[in-house]
Amino acid sequence: MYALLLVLLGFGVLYPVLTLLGAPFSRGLEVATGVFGALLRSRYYHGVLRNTVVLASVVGAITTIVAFAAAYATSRFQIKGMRILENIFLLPTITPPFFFAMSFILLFGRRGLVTYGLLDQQTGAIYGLPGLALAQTVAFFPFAYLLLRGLLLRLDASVEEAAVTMGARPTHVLRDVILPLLLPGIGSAFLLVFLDSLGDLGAPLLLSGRYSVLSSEIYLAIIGRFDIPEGAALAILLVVPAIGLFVIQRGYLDRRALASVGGRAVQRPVTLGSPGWHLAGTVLVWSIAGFIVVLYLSIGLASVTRLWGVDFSVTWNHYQSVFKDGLMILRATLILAGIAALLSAVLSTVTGYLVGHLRITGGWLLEALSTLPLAIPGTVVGLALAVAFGRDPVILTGTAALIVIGLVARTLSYGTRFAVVALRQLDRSLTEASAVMGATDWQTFRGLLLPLLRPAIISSLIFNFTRNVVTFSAIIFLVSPRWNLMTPAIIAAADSGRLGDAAALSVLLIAAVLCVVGPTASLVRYRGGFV
Amino acid sequence: MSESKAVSLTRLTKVFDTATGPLQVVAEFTLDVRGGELLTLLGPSGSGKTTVLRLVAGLERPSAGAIHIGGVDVTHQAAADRNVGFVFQNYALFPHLNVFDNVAYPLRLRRTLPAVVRSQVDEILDRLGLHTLAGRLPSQLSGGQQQRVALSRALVMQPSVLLFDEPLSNLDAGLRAQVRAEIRRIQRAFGITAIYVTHDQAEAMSLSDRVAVMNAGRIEQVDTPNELYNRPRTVFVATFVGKVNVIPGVIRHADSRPVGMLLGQTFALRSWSGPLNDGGQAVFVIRPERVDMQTPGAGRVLQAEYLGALEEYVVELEGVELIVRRLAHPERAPLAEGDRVGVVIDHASVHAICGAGEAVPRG
Repeated sequence: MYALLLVLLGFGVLYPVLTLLGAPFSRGLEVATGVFGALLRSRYYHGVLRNTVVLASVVGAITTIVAFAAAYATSRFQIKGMRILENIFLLPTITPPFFFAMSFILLFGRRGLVTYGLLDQQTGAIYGLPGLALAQTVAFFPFAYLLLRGLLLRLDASVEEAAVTMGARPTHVLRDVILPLLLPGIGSAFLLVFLDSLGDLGAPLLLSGRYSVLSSEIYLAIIGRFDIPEGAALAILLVVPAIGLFVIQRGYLDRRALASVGGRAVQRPVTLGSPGWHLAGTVLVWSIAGFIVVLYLSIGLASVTRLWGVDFSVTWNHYQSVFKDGLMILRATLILAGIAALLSAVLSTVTGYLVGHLRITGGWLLEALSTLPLAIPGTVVGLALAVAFGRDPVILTGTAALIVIGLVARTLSYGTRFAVVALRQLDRSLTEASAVMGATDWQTFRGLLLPLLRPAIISSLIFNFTRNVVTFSAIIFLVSPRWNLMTPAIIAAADSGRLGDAAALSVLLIAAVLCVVGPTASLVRYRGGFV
Repeated sequence: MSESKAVSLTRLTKVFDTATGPLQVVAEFTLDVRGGELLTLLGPSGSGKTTVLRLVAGLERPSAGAIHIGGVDVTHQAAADRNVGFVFQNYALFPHLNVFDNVAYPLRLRRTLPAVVRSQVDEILDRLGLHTLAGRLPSQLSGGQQQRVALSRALVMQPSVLLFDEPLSNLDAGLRAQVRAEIRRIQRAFGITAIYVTHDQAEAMSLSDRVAVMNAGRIEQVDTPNELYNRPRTVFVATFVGKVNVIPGVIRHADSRPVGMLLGQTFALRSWSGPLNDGGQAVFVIRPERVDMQTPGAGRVLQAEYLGALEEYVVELEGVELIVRRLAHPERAPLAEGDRVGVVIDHASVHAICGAGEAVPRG
């Protein structure tokens, strides 16, 4: 079992990554040093590197601050309409990350509803750092929010109450108790968003204008210039710091974050502070929710508008044109996403069993290999697979199998983590009791562990599926005319100026996800998959 | 220290909104705490005692009623303004601050001069025997030490009242008695008014000047431990403050003096609570240690338990089961189940709870 898993992971993860790392050297060491040297000397790429880091830092900082404020408000004050609010906050998790870039173009672009329609300004100001940062902030907000809210709820209420009885105001409690204890968690949220921003390709493709970042440069090198060595070299520049930060975030900050707050999540919020605080909190979180809703509405409107910014008459044309081949793409997307979700769940459960329960020697290797594709920015994972399986000995270019490998690789880590943690927490005496009663390993696994793991498996299935449907950067290099997916189709439409079609496709995609996820689990329950 | 009302709670009521509808946790609760005394709220879990404590601290808002501390109406005052010391069940020390900074925190909030902070914190740590631990983090302290830090932190702000929420429940049994005595000593030494919450009757009896026994959000009785034990006003109080025999019976008046009738014997009643009516129903409260045994007799030992210092039996006599407790003696063999014995009740210490409407449980 272990050997089989190792071979699968080696083939699907390690081989592509090593191939990519070797790609710049494929034409000899001299060429490679030439490529790297040119990159490192190039003024242009210095700018790109700086842009990438600045964007990720800005997005990381803004998202963390806004998410913290929102999480603080919803965990400490009584907010009206929490259920609706939570569902709105979670919507971006089942939406492609570039969706909001499209909204911003519709609202604030050259023909934007606000900029052009209301203010009569034909401005491209949205293209570049500000627009990119805003679009990514909205897309990554819920992940930071969920992380920080989980930590805020775990924080021991009596410690805050102790401060209050000693005369502390809410601002004092925040400054003296909450912030110091949550510092590792805040750092973890920042890095999480920072890394998401590094790997994101969709928003930069739509909004970057002349503000180039690494992910879009890789895309241009591969798709525009067919220059695999240069693309690979750029990817390596992106991978090295990304893996380092990932290790810090997962291995250090995440653990410290939980250790410093400790305890279990308690739903009873500390409802202290004056009515003014509750009102301020309510206004803040509902403004955020309102903003998110407006972004969704703009896409909905665009999907039934003849020509945005020019002719605002209502039309079903976009849906009609999309229905011609869009439904085929949607079907392919749902099928491949489903297959990949299932495969990923099976692999991660078995890995979890080996690593978390049997605690086999060398288990760390399985864990590391399944985590690697998450530590590497999505764009690079896709590129690695495209390069590795585009040449001998195994050529998969243009096949559905390649897409499935890409999707499985990206989600493997989450499921494995759930399964390992769930099985590690399981009292060993349970399985020992089963063994004493004469059960074989397999009977114990089927009869005892699998039922206990069922909630974890189901939530990781749903999680995998939605991730698969909305992912873009990991599969952009893997799709082909024969096997195309929704997200590249939307980007292609938006890129060629057919915003109405792109909007209609997006509405279709989100509706499909809601149809699949909705009956399986309400959004609020599905949230359990993240923490 | 004045004998005035340090804390005064008037018809205090707290209703929580729960998923299953409103839940009244504290009902028309009225209580005066005297200056300098240690008053314990004793009751089973869910009786509302912790909620009362949190209401006094301002950590919960009352649904109705009033709270006065030191004669000032604080009902609508924020917790931060009440100057109330609170010692939490889990101590609630700031895990990121060392002992000194934990204790200094309330002073620094009041913008006390650094030199004053230092001298006041040092003094408190010294008095509680913590001065050598000033630089340690809470995670580096034992449970008992954490308890003392929590106490120092509450005392350093010179609160008008000190509130304890089951402060011993996280300590192991051996340490509990020691810390209990320490809390009592410190409370006396500082002359501070204290309200102490516990569900442990032994803790309440040993610590308190007075005990308020709570049941379902109301006070059943407020009295000294001695009064509570010997003259309980309700069956609930009688059973909650220690093992007891509760036996239904009748009271008659003979020569205008009340007499009780119990197990075929008539005796002069010395202690009672409630309205005393000729021929009225009552329950007799008899502590197990006020019953002795003699052999042979008409009773039969149903259960025998040897506890080292004590022997405890359940004896059946005329259809009534009695708990009997006596000091063990090395030269007297304990009784065994099935032995025939007679019982001798110390009638002078029998207390009667009179009046109808009292649910009388089977002995």
